[in-house]
Amino acid sequence: MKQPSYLLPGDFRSLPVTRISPMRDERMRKAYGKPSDFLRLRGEASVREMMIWGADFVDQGHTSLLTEPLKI
Amino acid sequence: MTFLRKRKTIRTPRSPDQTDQMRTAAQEAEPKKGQSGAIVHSSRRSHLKSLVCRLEMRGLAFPGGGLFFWWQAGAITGLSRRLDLASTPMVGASAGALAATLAACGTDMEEALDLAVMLSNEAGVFDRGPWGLYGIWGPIIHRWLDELLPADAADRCRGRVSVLVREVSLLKDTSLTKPWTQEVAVSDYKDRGDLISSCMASVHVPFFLDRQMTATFRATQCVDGSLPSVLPPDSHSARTLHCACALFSLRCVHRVCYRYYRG
Repeated sequence: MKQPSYLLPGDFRSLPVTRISPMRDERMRKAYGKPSDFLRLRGEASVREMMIWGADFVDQGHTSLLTEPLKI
Repeated sequence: MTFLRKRKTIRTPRSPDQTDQMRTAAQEAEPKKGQSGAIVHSSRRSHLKSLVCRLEMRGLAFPGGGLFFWWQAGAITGLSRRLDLASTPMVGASAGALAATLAACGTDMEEALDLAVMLSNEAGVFDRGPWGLYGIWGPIIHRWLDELLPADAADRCRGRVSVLVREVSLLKDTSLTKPWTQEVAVSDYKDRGDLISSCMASVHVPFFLDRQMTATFRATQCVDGSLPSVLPPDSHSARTLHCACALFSLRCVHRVCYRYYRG
């Protein structure tokens, strides 16, 4: 689930990287299972639903390392 | 400080104004207590703060995903409540490049969605059916970025946001020893236009975006930065096979869409 860190700009190459991928969300995998779905329009409502799922995914703490606020 | 204040009182009587000045100076010079109870001076504290922030800092990688960009947009909205995205290093390819760029610029994703819907309605995207973005998506994205990104977008993203593009060697330059395509991470944006061009190169799904095979970025031909399957493997024969399959599949998609929307 990690992207090679060398792709980050120069000073940050040593940092760990977390991948924010919609395919980590089970709802997305179920709803958009076909390979062509990433280009296929389903209307405005589905787009808004995707946005809600994305925010919800973070709120549920799936990316637990990221959801903690920076301390100090 | 109490000792100093007493000494001052003994030497010279002071006016109320002087008292206030001294109190202010004392408060400024007062060392602050850390969480563990240890006394840490403000300079030391700021150093520790930057060190801890550095240790806790993570990079964010946004892979490509076409319309799934909007899931990433929602995730960015959630992340922005927990992370300082204005200082987080990011890397993105294709739709992920747009996500990284907009996140770094602090764009309101609800506003971005409203603008995208408005531009799509203007172009009649929703009236064209499920493949309504074919051939017109590129100009829509360009205008969308142009309206969304702030004037200092390049400054905000330079050295902190990597946009992945895939350079394509032209046929005349292609040889068996040279890769057919090459992944390039761009983070040295000259200006806002250069940033938008890099994003447009990164999202360029061949034929689908604007019916063109490639996008031109800094005088090189580029395609979608999230097309790793086109990346040539080690052996020449396998590389040729991969390239042929990739070209064939892209050509098929182009033909189907072109027939669907001819005229």
